[in-house]
Amino acid sequence: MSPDPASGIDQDPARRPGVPAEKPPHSQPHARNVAQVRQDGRPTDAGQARTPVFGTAQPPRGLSGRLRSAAYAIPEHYARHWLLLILADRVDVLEHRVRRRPGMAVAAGAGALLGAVALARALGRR
Amino acid sequence: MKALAYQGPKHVEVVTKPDPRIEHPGDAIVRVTRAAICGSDLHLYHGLVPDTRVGHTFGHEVTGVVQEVGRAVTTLRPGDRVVVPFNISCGSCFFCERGLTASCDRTNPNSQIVGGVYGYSHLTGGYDGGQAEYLRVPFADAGPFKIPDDMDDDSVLFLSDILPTGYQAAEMGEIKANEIVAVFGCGPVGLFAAKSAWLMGAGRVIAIDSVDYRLQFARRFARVETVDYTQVDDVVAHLREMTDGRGPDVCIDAVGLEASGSLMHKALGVTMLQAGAANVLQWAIGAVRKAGNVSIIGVYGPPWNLVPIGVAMNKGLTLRGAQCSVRRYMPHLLEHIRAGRIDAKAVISHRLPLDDAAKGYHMFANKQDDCLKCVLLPNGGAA
Repeated sequence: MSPDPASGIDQDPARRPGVPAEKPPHSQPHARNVAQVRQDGRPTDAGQARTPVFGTAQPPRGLSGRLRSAAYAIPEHYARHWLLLILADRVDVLEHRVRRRPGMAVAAGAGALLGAVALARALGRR
Repeated sequence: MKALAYQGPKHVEVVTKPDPRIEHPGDAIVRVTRAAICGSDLHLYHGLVPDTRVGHTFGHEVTGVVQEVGRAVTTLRPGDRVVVPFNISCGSCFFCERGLTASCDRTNPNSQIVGGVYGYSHLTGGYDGGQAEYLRVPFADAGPFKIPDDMDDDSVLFLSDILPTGYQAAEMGEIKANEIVAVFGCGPVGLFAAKSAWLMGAGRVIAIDSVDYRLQFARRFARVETVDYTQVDDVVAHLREMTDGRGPDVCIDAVGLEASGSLMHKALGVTMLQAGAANVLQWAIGAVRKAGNVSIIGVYGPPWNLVPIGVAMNKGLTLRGAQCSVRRYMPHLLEHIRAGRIDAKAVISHRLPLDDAAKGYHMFANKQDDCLKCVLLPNGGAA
């Protein structure tokens, strides 16, 4: 015997809202087939055709933005579309940290340069 | 307004942002009263969802009060209390007409895989989410559900996502009377999937996890048998033993891409840049009986996931997965809540002001303080 007192109340599939998986087409209450498109023909920031509504948060910028534009030019059924977006995410974080702390970025860059010079000299001596 | 903003993997902050504004005639602006942190938000938090941009506000489980409406909105007025489905849907496209609001064609210009979602990266349209003081709600006549005057926000908050999601997970399993159902994952979605399995007439429900406080809660809340997979040598073999050697009739994957428990999947997840680990799905396919059903409600992402599709084919399995099309479930599940059959707010373990959102994410991600479900209160309210 089931421990749940409401057991079986939705046993009949007819009571389950998602059965069948697709209902016969019918207009949803209060929906209207209104074109709410900004008819300017421009693509979205992701380079896609605009849908009637679209997000406007965090427009792409910098190197990460260029990587995102490149990614969206690749159809999404190719893995490189996603890999490029993930790379853009990581670059975005780095760019953000540089913008927040430019002094540290300069120091890190200088340190990397000195390290590279030292390594080149060491290799040259060999 | 104050809003949570992503800064990088495992780093979110509360910042000041411009208030959202009406951008399309069918928009509404909602003052957020409750915003929950979802298990799928952790995929964003960990930097695993492609096109998650610095500054993005997460949050797709929201109740609130309508603040302002666009000129084309007819069913909502300022002052109306609403619970907002996590799907952004138009109500009139090919998919919405068939009830499949998660697949709306008119709200996500960035991908053909899924419709628009609040606060879930630019992969799902680039809409800032509701872990903030205000939220822009497109197609306001089609999505938001008015909260009845006799219901409080906590009781209906989870109609936005996790309760219909758990219910759809069970529904996709096509559970028949007295069948044995195994639910992988004792987070809130898994708990609601387990409850829903009983409603659909299951004869036994077995829940699997590794976190002790979650297993205990599952036994109390959903009245299920439990398996701690860290305490058995082989969870697939163990489930078969529990079911007379045949395997459960239905397995529900309510974990998704951040599954733990397999070193191989974790390693490959990093080196092959997979969107996480699919070991729970592997267990589900392995454990379910031949000709059984596997329901996938845990979130996975592109591009690759190691899935034993050959095993699935040879066993003759039915695999069904989907993002939940929330709107079609809301009236039905509201009645279950009102009748006391599902105590949805019982899964809330923490209520925090928005300023403590980073702390909430850290606690939730690391399963500290017996955290099960954390709800943010961006505009105050009972904590």
